[in-house]
Amino acid sequence: MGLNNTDVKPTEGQGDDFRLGQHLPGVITTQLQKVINWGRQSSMWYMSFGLACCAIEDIMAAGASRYDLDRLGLFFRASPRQSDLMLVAGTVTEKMAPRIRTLYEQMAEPRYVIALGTCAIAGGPFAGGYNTVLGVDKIIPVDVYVPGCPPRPEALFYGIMKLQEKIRKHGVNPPAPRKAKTAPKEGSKA
Amino acid sequence: MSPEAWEEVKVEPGKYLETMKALRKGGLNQVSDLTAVDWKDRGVIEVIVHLLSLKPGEDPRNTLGRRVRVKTEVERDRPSIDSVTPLWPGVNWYEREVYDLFGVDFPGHPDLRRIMTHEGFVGHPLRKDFVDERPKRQRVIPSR
Ligand code: SF4
Repeated sequence: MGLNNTDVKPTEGQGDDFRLGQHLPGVITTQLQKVINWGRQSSMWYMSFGLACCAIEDIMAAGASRYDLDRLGLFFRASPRQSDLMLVAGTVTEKMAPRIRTLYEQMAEPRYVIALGTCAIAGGPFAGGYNTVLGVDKIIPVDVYVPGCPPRPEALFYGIMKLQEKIRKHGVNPPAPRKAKTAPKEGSKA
Repeated sequence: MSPEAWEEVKVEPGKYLETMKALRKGGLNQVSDLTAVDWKDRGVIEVIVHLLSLKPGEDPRNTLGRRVRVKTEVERDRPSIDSVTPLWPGVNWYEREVYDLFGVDFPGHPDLRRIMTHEGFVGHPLRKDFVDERPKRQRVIPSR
């Protein structure tokens, strides 16, 4: 973790790493921004939006003991109001689109979105269907795209690491999410 | 389950509700499926109901696990068939689905709304002549 103490002279062979008790016992000096971002990146509670087969691979398999999302500090929350991250896994239908938008807006800021699988990225194999939204980024802003059909849990982990990297580079107030590619139309006609 | 074990009944739309009432009374207490087929060439939509008996009823033929398939053909232009939701409440969503995807009207249904597609959807997508009215999708990789 990147808690660097700029006041402490680096000791021999230690690089910039701050070592507890080196300077004043029990005192760490760091930047507030870094602590906040470290907190954010290490406890991203996610709301899983399992919509199709990707949910099995990436919410259930990755969340279960073999891959274990929990060890990254990611816990599943059923409520959008308690979650920081939305994992959209699966095919987004036009029926579902307004609901996704509503749930996204109910999430507390800062909020992040990972689009999992080709379906959530661009419609996937169902792109020609009569009821498919061609990517969840048509409805909500997406931070990380994880391609695959379905992506392996390792790919999801890599996506989460990329998101953590993004969070680390934030200021205390993260930048406002960029706009979705096209604004959703009113109500159910999205 | 072997196909021979199915009994198949074909009824006119006018006799449909009557038949279903009799079958319900006979002890077929579960609808395992209600679906439809669009026969565009013949100009009919065939509504198919799969019934299953989970307990013996009045009908002596009615043993546990008896399965009956009921087929009805309705006109394709104005498809309409009586709802059997009052007989089997569980068939509610199946009828909504057939209404949504094939446009079959079910008079007597308590809440006939679209179920799979959104409320503003135009057309019935499983009809053979359905055309997607949405603007043509932008190609990710332009064709040359
Ligand atoms: S990307 Fe593939 S695996 Fe994932 S939801 Fe779509 S079809 Fe299923």
